[in-house]
Amino acid sequence: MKALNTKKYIVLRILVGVVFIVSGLEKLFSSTENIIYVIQSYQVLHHAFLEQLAALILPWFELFLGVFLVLGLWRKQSALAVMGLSAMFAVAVGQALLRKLPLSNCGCFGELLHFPLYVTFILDLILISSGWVLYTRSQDTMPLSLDKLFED
Amino acid sequence: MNKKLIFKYFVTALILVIGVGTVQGVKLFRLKQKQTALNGAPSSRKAGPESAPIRIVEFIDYHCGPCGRGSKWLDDFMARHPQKIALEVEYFPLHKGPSGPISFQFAECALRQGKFWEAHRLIFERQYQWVSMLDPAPLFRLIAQEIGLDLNRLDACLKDESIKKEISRSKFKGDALGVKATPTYVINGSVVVGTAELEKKIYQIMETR
Repeated sequence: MKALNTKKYIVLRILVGVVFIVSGLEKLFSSTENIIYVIQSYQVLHHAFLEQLAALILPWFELFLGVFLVLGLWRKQSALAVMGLSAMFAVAVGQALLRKLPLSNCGCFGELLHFPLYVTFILDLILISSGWVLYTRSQDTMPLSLDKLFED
Repeated sequence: MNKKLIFKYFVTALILVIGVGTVQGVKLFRLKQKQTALNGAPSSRKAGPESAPIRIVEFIDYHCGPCGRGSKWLDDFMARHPQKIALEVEYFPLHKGPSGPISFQFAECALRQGKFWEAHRLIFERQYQWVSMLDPAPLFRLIAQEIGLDLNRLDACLKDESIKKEISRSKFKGDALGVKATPTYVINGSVVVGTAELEKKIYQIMETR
């Protein structure tokens, strides 16, 4: 029973990691201008420099966060980052929903997957919860992780 | 700091280096593909002098409102500064509805009768009329009459498979460049999305020259 429980958390860790890897790669292989365009359509940053900075940093952050989760490296820190990043996305999407901004899809997976805003908001909440589970049950996500190699 | 932690930092750095290297390598490969695509067969949807200092490739969908506004803005700008811009229009159909392909086919057929720019402008000008129609063909026929197209040649052309191939070829160029939304402009080699960015970029170039 314990083994089954542990497997559940490892699968969750890898699944969340894959989501971030796909999202990061899709943005990295799209032009930066496309990402800036998506960021601008959320109308939150209001500053060209910040929009450009976010467009440059966000895809790499998502990619490596996903890689770390899949490999099980810095698991606790990665789980915290999942919560932080997803909360940030949830706030951006939430305010777009409240302000009724004309966004037909979230732009979170580029052209690969299209989700309406309310679905994206729910997905962000699921990711925040997953981050919380991964953080609080970090000991259960230890098997099949690189962190295990560096354990004292 | 114990040895295991140092090794952990080392592995982390290694993953970061491998990740960045792989992504940049793939990006470089795709960039080469892009360059090949842009050096392919040139389109005849060009305006402005070849020697112009600002070279723009414009990726449009006739269904898209901002594309129409961007096109009008470029038209006005080129009228005021006739020697400054060399413009090339590429088709980037994104709209999947029943009226999707006909606007592009009509523009391409007008090109074959030497009336591309007349058709291009009127398709955008009348966008508000045809864009919600299930079958906008009669409206395009009226535009054809207005700009003096040979209607028999037009009918034959609309059935021509090579027209569809040309539209796909044009779309492929955009795909190779990573175009995801319309309007997208390649201005002197850099990609710009949306009309606001187009205006900003052009004024920036004008200021530096």
